[in-house]
Amino acid sequence: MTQQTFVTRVAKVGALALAFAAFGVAEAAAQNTGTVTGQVRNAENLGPLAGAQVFIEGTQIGNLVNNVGRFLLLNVPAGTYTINATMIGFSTASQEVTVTAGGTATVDFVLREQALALEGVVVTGTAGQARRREVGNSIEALGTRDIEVAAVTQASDILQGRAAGVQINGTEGSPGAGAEIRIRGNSSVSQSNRPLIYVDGIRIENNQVGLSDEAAATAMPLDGINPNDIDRIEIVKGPAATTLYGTEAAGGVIQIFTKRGAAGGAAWTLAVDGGASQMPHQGPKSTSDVEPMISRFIKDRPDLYPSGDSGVDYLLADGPLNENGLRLNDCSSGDPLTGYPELTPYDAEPGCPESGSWFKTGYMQRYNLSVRGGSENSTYFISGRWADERGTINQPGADGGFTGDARDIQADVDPQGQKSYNLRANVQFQPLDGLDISLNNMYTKRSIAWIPNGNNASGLYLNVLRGDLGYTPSNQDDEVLFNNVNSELSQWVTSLSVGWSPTANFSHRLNFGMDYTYLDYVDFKPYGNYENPLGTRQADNESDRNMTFDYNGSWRTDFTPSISSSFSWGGQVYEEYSWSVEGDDADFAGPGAQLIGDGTLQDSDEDRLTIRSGGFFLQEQVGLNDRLFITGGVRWDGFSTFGSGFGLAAYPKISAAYTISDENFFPQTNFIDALKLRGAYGKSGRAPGAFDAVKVYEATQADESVPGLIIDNLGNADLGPEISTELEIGFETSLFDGRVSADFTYYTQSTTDALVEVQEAPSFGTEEGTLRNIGETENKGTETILNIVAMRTDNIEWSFNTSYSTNRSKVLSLGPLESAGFEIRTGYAIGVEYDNGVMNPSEVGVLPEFEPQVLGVAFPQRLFALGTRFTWNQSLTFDVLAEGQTGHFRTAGIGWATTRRGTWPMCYGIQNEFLANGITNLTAMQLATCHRQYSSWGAWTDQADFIKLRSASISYRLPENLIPATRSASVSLQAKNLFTWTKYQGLDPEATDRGNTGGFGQGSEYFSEYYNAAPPRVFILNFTVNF
Amino acid sequence: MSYWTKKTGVLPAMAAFAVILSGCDLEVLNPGAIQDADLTDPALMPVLVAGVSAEYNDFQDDIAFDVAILSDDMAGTGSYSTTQLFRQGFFDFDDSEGNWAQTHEANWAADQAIQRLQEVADANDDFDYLTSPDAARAWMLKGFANVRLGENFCHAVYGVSSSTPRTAAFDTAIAAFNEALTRAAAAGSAADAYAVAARAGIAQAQVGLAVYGSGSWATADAAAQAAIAGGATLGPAVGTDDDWFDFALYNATADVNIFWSETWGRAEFGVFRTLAQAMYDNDADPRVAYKKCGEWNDPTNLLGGGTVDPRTLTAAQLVTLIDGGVTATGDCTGEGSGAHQGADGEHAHYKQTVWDDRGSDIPRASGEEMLLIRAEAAMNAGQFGTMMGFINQIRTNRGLAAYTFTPTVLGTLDYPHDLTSQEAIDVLDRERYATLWMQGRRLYDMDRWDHPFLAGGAATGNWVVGGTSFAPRPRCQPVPRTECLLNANLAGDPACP
Repeated sequence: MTQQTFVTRVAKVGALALAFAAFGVAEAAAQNTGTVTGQVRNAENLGPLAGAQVFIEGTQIGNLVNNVGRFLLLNVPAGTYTINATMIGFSTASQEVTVTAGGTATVDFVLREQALALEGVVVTGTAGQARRREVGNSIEALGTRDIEVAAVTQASDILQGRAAGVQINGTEGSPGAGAEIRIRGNSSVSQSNRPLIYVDGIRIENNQVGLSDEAAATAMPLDGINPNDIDRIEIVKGPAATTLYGTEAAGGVIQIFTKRGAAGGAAWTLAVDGGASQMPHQGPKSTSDVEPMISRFIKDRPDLYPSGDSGVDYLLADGPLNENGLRLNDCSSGDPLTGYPELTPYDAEPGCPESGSWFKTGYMQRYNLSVRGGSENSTYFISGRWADERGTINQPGADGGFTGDARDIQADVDPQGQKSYNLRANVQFQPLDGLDISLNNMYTKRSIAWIPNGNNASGLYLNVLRGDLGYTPSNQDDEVLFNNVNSELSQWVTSLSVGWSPTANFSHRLNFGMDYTYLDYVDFKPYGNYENPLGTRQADNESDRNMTFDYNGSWRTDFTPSISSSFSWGGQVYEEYSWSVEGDDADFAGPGAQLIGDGTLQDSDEDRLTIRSGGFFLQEQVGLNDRLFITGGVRWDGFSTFGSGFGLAAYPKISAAYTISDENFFPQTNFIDALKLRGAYGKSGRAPGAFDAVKVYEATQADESVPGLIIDNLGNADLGPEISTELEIGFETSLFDGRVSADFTYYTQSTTDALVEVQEAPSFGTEEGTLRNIGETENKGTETILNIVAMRTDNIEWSFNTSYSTNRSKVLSLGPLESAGFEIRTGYAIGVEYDNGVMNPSEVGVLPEFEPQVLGVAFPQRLFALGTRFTWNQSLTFDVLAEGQTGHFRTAGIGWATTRRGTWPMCYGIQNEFLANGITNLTAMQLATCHRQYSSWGAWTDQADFIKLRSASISYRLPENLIPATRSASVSLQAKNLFTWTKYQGLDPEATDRGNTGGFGQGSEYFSEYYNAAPPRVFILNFTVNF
Repeated sequence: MSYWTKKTGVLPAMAAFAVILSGCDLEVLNPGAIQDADLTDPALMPVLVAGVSAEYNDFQDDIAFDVAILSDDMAGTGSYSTTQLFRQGFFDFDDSEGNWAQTHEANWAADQAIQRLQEVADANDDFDYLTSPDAARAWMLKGFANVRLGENFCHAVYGVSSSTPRTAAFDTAIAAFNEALTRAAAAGSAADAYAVAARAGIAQAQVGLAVYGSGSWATADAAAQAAIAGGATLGPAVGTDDDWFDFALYNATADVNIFWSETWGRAEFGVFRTLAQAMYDNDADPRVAYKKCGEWNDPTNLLGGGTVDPRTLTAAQLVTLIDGGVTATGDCTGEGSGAHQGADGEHAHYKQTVWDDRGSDIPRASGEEMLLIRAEAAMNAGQFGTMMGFINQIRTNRGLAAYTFTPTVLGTLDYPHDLTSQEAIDVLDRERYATLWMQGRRLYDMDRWDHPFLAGGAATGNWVVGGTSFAPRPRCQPVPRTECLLNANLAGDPACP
């Protein structure tokens, strides 16, 4: 009996009893039978394992565990039995029990998470789920427990450092700011490399909705999902696995499954979080922290560095450097700068908040209430969350937070932070045998108040760091905060999923749903602001609607007792409709809440865009002895953005999964529990943009506001998708009774017909480039996961979880082009730092000689994570996770731009030497780095390797019955981004200027830090009670 | 077949899905995007040619802006990386890309529009290309795009071919202007303004041919004279208070004049310590108009109350000066950004007031410029009295006192200028400087006169803090790197070093 048929059977047989089990009042149905009841709980924290299966060996008696972890087996004939408890992802537990006529036997189980859960099921794009042993490609899954122990402020945090090959790059350190996600690096040179995101089978927007140029930040729809609602996340990594997801899935797929109801009475969970964010000290604290740049030249151009060092000695051997955190941490005191005559003696800045710092502790509070329950035929999960997270920027206010000459910002401007609420209602029905209907609904409202920041003349960091050479009048930097920059984001995700299984081996599933995001963005500089005294206002309304209609079916059969077959088919229609209306105005008549239309310089812009795609697939999987599974399939896609001369795109796949340890010939040892070999080959694609294939004109305002038409795009009727092909091989194994598990994957991707924007020589007549399918790239890497249980006793479990992944990409061809933009260059990685290198770095007393060149790879080439979890007595848990990203470069634009104003303290030594003796004693590299005139962007491009202590938590499950009328309760203290180890020269190697705006050509080429806030430290105290 | 149909229902399911798919229109026509096939209505032709004008306007202020920096009409006092480099003479083939591409795009847009006009005329009996004023306008705009190419770039390249001497741009321009005149004549009074502009454009191009090619100043003079005569038919005659201009047009909401953006909206560029200040600071010439929004405090009197040239100060003294800060004069409060210091925080902001509005229009050609062409032609013929007549006509028109002297010699250009010099070349130089100030025509002047400013600016010294060395300034803008890389016909071409 396969596990799936068992599930179906027990669902039919035992569902009725679940409701009774919830109240513990079941009785034996006949005099010669008895009852078995008990609990099934997670060994780590004794939490209930709702949905686990309990059955009596050798009988047809079994049942599912209800929403509080209890089960009930009725009408069990008197006798002695072996009872098994199983749960996907957990090891199976067995106990003997004796049932007496008319009696009730009690037996409790605790199940441990299984290192290699071959019977666990995952979603693969077909109608049904597939067991891991059938899947020929790597799929990583994160469960509820991973989410519970992680220090999470938003959904994308869950993925940070917890999945091999997945890079989550935080951007602006402000509440609500989204993260950039890459799975297995980049393979496209012009299109988005972001993964697709599905929530309960419905595709949601994976790009930002709106970008605040004023704040240099944006929010991402993924973070609109309440982390407490997530049951599990599956990460499907490459084209070999995403073939059935069709065009646009080449960057991988993230599948999010939210919690479902379970039979039983209402089980409530209340979680209350209190927390605080804190911005660490910015920049080096002393000269000992300032190390010469470790330039790429040291490795690649030893001829330029015969001495073996980079040539940048900051000449800061004596004296303190910068105890005030680049005037951000402390803007009111400090005399460390007086040793450097070029600088104005350091006093309190006119706009400095009275606390003496531009930073403050940003407090947060979050309240989450959920309930799950249900009956025989219907279940529900309902939740709500309200959160208020304040930022770390100190906005001067009348409550003592501002000096006499500063403006009372708080009176006029919303405080930096994010207020949000989230509602979810997931309900499931089973009106008929074999028919299940799920309706999942989510609504999220986020009100984000940004501060102006980034590469922005009105930004806070820029003006503070530039001192009195900034843009604010008389260095009154608080004036920049007199600016409301608000994003009101509404997000609604609703889906209907209908599953129909007329027989145990024949199933259909229909998913239909919508993801709708609406942004109301305002950037308002009121009347009286320093920059435009009459005021300016920008108001954007943007919405994005993603509709998914997805049908697929599967039919399973056994050709012979040893040969099984699973045939799948299906199709999908997807539509994205986005529109935006932007209004700008300026020069208002007076103060107050002015709107667009109240000023004298109105301008507006409207965009509407629809993209549709449709595709269908066929797939056949053949299994041999439930050990070897070979899967082949094809997906065909049509797309509205393909050229008229292009037909359907076809994406084939084939994969094999072989649990070799089940074979008789496999050496039977005491230490190998299971070994699965796998390999997969498949294709996926990326479509061109909405208008790339057609010649279109753009309406413009010409002359004195008369209409005009200009050619916007030349078009290419033959345009099709770029095709990514991937081969991945690997193995999964479990050793020493599950105490050690390992997963290794090697993948190699090649992208052909890569979409490359070809710019004609300007003398052709137009600057507009056209996309052509002429490029070729490769992308290779490995992913290694090793989990070790170092200690396991009845009361203690101590485990280590590590992952290490590598990624190397390369642009093989751009057709006739050497480069496509600065960051894409033939022969180099996809995304490089390209700027002037210093060709005579060690020469003394001469000016630097520059030559443009590739300075380094822009994306990390190595990701690694080390986590450990220690649990004592199923009640006390420590969890720590450190993550490292290495092998990449980033430009500390903040250093470059600030140095040019003479206010980057690390360069004072060199600048003072120049003032005293000119260039006589300085190397060319010192001049290229720190000289105010000769400072080069490329000289600030540096290795950005870092290790961060991402998450640390301690949680304690309170003794049962400590709190009356509750089932359980726990408290935990979590911390995020506690420490950073790096030699990077800027403020933070993750702070990115406009880094989360999509693929190349859409902004993410700015692999630089340019006056952006670093991710703050976050501390969260959580109290959770179940009742 | 029956097995699949009966047992699994696969084929019916697939058929059902195929029906669903067939009902979906994957040919999405997104609103707002106008496709080629939509432009068949003759009523759209003025809109199409207005688009050509928009393309022209798009580059005119940009190229004028760069040239104003290169010729020291104004200087960078802000945060842009090229701010100081241009001033110090660093302008290579990475810096000319925008001007080159935009100028070519304006020329190409005119070609595309002209072709479309002809296609629409072929398909519509009620639209005649030959008598269309829009056709005249498109040809006129094409002509000016090419004049700007010839004036500013060292070489001409068309259609991804090899390079030709810059005179090819003037030849192309003259051909376009003549076609514009033909179309305008057929179109009647609706195209009179285009005809006058085309005549002025021919005069500009003939100057180019006279300097760089086989043309003559006599031809240029005749063309300028014809343009002046044509302009007189449009309104008040040249020499009155209301001179005529043909403008590149800007407006406050769509295409903002970049001079305004960078000097009023921001304080990235200013007149502080430029040639304009050196020559006209004490001369109330309305053509070189700027405001002093701030002044250096000079707490230790390093400038001696104006008696010490800051160029003579050491770097440390300049730093002291900077640390002393800039005090607002109050004259700019409430105007644009109201900034009193440059965006670099180091320099006083002297704000040009020639383009004092977001929508200030920049002349493509004017009656005054035609008079200057005639004056230069007279000077080259040794007719200094005639030359001064044309110049005084402009000065009178601007409310300035007429010169009472007549040069006796051509002389040699001095730099910076002595406003009292009575040598012919000095007079013409400063009059063209003042009359065409901030119009981006000065690089062309300096090149043809072998102006000493081009020699490396040694005489300018440390005009702006940070400017410690000066390279020889470009005489013309080079063919940009992108053209050299993307145009295979330029391999080994002298236009691409």
